[in-house]
Amino acid sequence: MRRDEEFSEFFTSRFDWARRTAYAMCGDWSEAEELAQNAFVKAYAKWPSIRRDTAVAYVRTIVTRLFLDSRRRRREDPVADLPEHGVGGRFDDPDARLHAALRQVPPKQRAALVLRFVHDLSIEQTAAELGCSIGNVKSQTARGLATLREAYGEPVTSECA
Amino acid sequence: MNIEDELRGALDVSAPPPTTTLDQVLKRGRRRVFAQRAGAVLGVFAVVAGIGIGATTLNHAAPDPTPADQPDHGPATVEHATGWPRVETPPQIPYGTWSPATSAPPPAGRAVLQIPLCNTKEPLEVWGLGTEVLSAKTVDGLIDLVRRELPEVTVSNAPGNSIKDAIEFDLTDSGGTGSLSISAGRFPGTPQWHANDNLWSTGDCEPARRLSLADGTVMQLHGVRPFEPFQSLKQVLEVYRKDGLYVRLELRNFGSPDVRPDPDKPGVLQRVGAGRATLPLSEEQFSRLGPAIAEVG
Repeated sequence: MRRDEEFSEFFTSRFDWARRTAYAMCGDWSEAEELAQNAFVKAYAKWPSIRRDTAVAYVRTIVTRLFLDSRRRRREDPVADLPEHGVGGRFDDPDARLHAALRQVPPKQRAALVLRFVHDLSIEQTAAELGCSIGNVKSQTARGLATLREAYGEPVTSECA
Repeated sequence: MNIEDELRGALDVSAPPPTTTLDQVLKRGRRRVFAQRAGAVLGVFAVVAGIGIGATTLNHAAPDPTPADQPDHGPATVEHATGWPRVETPPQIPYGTWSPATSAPPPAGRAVLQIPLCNTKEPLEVWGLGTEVLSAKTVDGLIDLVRRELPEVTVSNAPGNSIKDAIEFDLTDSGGTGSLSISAGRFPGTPQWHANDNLWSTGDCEPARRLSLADGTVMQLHGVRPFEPFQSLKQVLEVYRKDGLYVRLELRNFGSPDVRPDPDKPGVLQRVGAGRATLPLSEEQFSRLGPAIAEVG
């Protein structure tokens, strides 16, 4: 089946990327796995109508929206203090520190940061994937960066003044 | 440390091996496709069922077809669109419900109408009815107006009826043949008084519908009444003209095909057929004749 062949190829090349994107947003590997899997299941169902050159963006949009939906359904416990150990290792691991700090950023701001800086999307593209206005993306991004800087607890520079 | 640079490297973290396999995703994906297709099919069924249920519900919500003494509620008239208001007076309380005689029941397959029965109140003043009071010109005018006002119905003169007692027509459409009888008389006094005097003369339960014209003519449309044999139906329209001419129109669900000369009684017609299931004119069609009669010279 051509559908399955094409999709299999896409899954093989992009599942881990989707899982890591989900992890950047949710900070939990098992949840990230679930988000990515659900996104690919949805993509499979819509596969005949998805343009191949937009399939990556399509899956990323699903991951983002599934993440935000999950946070709307259950209030995420805010992390008052940085955990002693990061998810992926000890706290002195820079990656773990980043993801722990990200978890202190509210979900929508976090999604905006991931799309804008992790995926290097423009403000317009980010607005399209989040399903909100450009102005909303700008404010969410600015507030997200401010929260992230605070979470780091030490002076950090920023491209955005 | 540049925080945006930190973010750009957020995907390059050490990660546990994925537990999701392609097979899992394909299986779930196929189930989802199947569910979507099944949902679409069920949706179509739901729409079709909804239309069916809606149509049935609307059909059941339509006015009860049984009370044929209320022409705006029953099958005895196909449409119910006269704008004439009912006379503002309390209705009569029914003493029973119509039940056809066992010796002359309605034909097989025709439902017995559950028509409430009320007392007939004879008018205080009565006068003779016929066609003697009508000039030849008026008779011609009445015959013409029936044909003119009812172009959608085949109007033909019923055979065997002289024009002495009434002007009789057969009215035929796809539902069969019924008839219309027009007779006339002269009354003293005012149209309004006589209209009130005859309000319950046909045994209505609900007050008749009435329309008064600017010239003082009063038109009164009674309800559909059942009578023997074969659950026959009739409806009466009265026109009390300002000039003292009274015209009575009686609409029936049977016509000349349903009668024949009584071999034992010369000059008398005998009912042999049940006629059609409904009256041959809707209330709107029937009431059309009233204003036209008011203008006949």
